Amino acid sequence: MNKDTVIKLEEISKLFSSEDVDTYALSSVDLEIAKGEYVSISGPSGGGKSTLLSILGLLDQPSSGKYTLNGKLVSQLDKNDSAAIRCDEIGFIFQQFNLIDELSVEDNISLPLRYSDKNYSEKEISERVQKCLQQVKMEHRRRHKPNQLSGGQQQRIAIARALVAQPSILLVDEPTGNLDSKNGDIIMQMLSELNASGTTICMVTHDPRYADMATTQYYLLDGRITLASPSVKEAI
Amino acid sequence: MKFYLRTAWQSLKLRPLFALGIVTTLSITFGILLVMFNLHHVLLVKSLPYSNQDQLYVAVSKVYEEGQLKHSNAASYAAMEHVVKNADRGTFAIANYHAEIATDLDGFPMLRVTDTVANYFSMLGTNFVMGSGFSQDLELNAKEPIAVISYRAWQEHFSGDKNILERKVTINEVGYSIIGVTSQAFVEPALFRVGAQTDIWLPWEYNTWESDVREDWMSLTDQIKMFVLTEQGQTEKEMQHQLNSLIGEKFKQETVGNPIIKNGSYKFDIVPLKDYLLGDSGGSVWFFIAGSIALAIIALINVSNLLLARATEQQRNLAIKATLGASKQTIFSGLLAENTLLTTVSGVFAILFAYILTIEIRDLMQGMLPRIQELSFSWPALLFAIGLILSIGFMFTLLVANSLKYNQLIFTLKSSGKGSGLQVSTRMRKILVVSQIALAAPILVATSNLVVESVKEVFKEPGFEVENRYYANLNTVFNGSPSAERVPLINEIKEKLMELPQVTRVSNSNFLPMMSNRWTTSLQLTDGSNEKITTYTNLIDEQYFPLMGIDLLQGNNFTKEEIQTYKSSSVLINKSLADKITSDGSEIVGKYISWSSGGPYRDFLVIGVVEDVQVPNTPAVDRIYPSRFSNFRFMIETKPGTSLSRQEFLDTVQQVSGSFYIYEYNSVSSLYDALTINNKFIAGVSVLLSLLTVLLASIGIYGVLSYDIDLRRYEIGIRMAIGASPKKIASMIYKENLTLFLLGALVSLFIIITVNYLLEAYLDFDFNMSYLVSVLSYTITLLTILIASYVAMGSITSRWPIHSLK
Ligand SMILES: Nc1ncnc2c1ncn2[C@@H]1O[C@H](COP(=O)(O)OP(=O)(O)OP(=O)(O)O)[C@@H](O)[C@H]1O
Ligand SMILES: [Mg+2]
Repeated sequence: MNKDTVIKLEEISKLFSSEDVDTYALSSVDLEIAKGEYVSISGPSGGGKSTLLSILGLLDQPSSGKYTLNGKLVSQLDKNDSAAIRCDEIGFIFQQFNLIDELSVEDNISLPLRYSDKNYSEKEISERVQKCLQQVKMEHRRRHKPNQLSGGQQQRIAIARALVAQPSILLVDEPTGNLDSKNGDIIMQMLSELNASGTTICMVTHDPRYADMATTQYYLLDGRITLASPSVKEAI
Repeated sequence: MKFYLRTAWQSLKLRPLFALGIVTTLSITFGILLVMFNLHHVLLVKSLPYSNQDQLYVAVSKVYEEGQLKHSNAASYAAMEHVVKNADRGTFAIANYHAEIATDLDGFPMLRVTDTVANYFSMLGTNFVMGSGFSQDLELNAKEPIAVISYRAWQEHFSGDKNILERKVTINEVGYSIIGVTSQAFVEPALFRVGAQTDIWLPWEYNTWESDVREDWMSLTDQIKMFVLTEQGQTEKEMQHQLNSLIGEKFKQETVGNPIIKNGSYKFDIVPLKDYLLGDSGGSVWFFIAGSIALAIIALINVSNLLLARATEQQRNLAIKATLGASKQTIFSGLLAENTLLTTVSGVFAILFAYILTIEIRDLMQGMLPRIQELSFSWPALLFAIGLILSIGFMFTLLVANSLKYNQLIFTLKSSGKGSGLQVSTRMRKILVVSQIALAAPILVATSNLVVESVKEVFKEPGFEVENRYYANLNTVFNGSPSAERVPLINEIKEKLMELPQVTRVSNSNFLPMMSNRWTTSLQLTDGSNEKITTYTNLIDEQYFPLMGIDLLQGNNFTKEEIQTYKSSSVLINKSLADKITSDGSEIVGKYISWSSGGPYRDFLVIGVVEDVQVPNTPAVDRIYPSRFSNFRFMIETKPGTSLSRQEFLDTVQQVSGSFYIYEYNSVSSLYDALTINNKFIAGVSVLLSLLTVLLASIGIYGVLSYDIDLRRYEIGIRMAIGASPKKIASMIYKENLTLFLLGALVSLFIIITVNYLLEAYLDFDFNMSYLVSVLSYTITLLTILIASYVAMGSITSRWPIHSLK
């Protein structure tokens, strides 16, 4: 394995069993993401994009297969150890922003640092939060509550929160799904800048314009992953 | 409406715990409230089942010495007859209560007898299934051997014999012709004691009082009661005045020079029959009502908490409906349908529960609460229940609807793209939990302290032996013989009993330790002060202390010879009396004391001091134990693991003479148990109340906490997604809920202190609170919270975060 590989999936499958039907949301997925790469994943609804992202983010366990993150086998970790990895190595950005209503912008951003086992000092926490707020240009709203912000602003706070623990990868699921195109463009612009300054990104999107901004594009259909060829792209 | 009900049913099916919580809480509380309403109604509101109940009063006798109340509710036989013969305004009935054996019925049953006058039946408007009451021609002192029996006695002792009016019943060797059977619906006023019921009514003159009692104005008894019916227009005051002017001078004249009372006077209190029957049971009723109101408060908090929590959950759904064009009206109808469904189901269970409880209570509380046989599942209660249920359903709907606010619903949806979706008011959530704790804890503290207090009394060590001991009181013609003739018979009975293989000791003594209040005498200090001390008195033989297991502390017991010669001038006294006589701690044994049992004072030698005995609900009292007893009362001790049946005992004494019948035969342990019946009752009720409180409070706390966590599922999912481990989530929730507990505990402490202060300041009620028990109550509350938190968050923390993010 290349030492610059952040993520390596080998034959990852995810089976959802309900009473009468078994659904393979992912079947035998192989995927490698290198440091500094900007990966986009697209495909039709129900193709397994969100499922893949939740396994990458250790929000769920694969039914089978091996998942190596920064050279460490993580597919068999228990819930507490997975949480520690999510905290330090993974940044999440969701379609619904998912900020916590009761907490101020600052407190929302600081959460991953507080959950970390690394015992950040208050000073370090506040410095890091400050830096991330600058990165997303939201310093002036640090004491606001999420519901006092517009959708685009909330998503920028969510980006700041994802960045604050300096994760090795950002996992992004439809970041513009709840935004108008102007705000969507701002967010996508921001992600490109982050990638340019070295952040590894894996993003799920429906929008071909945004998929094109990625360095590598994948296509997920019925749980099987392929590199997106131009012909495939046209089909989307 | 049908549509709304169907939708409501479907949405409730998705929330079985919510529905179960509400239905259990409401049906238990409604049920209990209903029964309490009934009980309250029967005891305090309902009129007596007598047509002229407003004019019925009880004349309660009071005897004063030097202006000080000496005896309350102990009537003088002579005074009672004097009033009945001489009063002219109103109607009067006297009744004498006792129990006698019917010697010509199978198994010699003990019948509860009331000796009374013809007016008794007419004043109460008694109906008869057969025959009639005593004819109005029956003179007060006429000896006409007739009897009226109760419906129950007719069924039990005469198997409902249709020809009952041709039969006789023999009591104390008199054959009484039965002239009437009271109707099944006739409820006799239980004047003698709570729950007392008569089997047979005999003419007044057949009462068993000896002539010296009848003539001595200071022979007082609690067995005789008088009730009166005022004339139209005659007031309570006028009646009282009439009686007191009849008796005042007369009593003074009759008791001049009587050694037992100095400057005595006699008065009647006229108490409405209804109040008299209620006695001091009003207190218990209020205790139950307070208890059930406390329960109801918890229940209402539970239910409103659950409903508000549910409303919060439904907010989004309702918001969608509102934007789709549902009017305020439609939304309200939907909520109303759901709440009506819940309350109606609860109501059905509540009525069922109440019905069963009513029957149980009627059986269980017989003899503990007055008028309990009148308790039934009545229409007013049912109407009250239905009204309450419907209005509570409506009230809850209003509450929920108000907390939602139609305009805000639409706003909710507009803003739902922001933040984490549902806008759950944190403050509301916290208020719900804190209020739940703040109210549950004080109620728990109060009820558990009550439990401990009454259980302590129930399990108090008796201080004397109760197991394998029997007490017998014989009824016989020899009771009238001089004591010299009785003693050989007593000795013979003792010997015959001792011949039984299981009997180890027999004592011929007057009272068991717990019958302490039956006879008081007085004793004069010989230290020059001439101060008199009233002491409880028991005539005993040499077997009494060893048999009852009462320790001799100083000196000696009586000897067998001393008892046999029947000439003892010695007494034993208990520690409490010894301490009182020799306050300087000097030796009392060997000294003389001056004692009188009614006649002149004589000197008696104190030969020993015995331990005080503990009797439940009675403080340690001064006791004196002279000897020379010669009535047919026996205490019998049998070997452990054996017993002496009533029949075996009767057979044995009848070997001595066929004229002995059992007047009273009981095991000492059953008599002792009966003493604590009230404590057991209170203990039982408080145990029930505290268990229900714990149950309801737990349901409430669990309901609110689990709803709270459920509502926060998504938020917790986010926290887990950004790196919070299950451990950290758990510690966050424990911390939050502990904070709420502390807040609630603080508020509850404030409530406890305030209520305690108010009770003490205004009702002079000192609540005996144990710190240990109170701390325990809080611990239970805390445990409930921890367990509820643990269980409620289990569904989130034990699964991968993705499940909470859907
Ligand atoms: N918890 C679950 N239980 C059962 N089936 C599931 C579950 N989660 C996802 N699936 C199934 O797995 C498949 C992939 O779902 P997934 O959410 O990953 O699709 P997606 O590509 O993200 O779609 P979309 O573009 O609509 O978000 C779908 O067929 C879905 O029905
Ligand atoms: Mg998806």
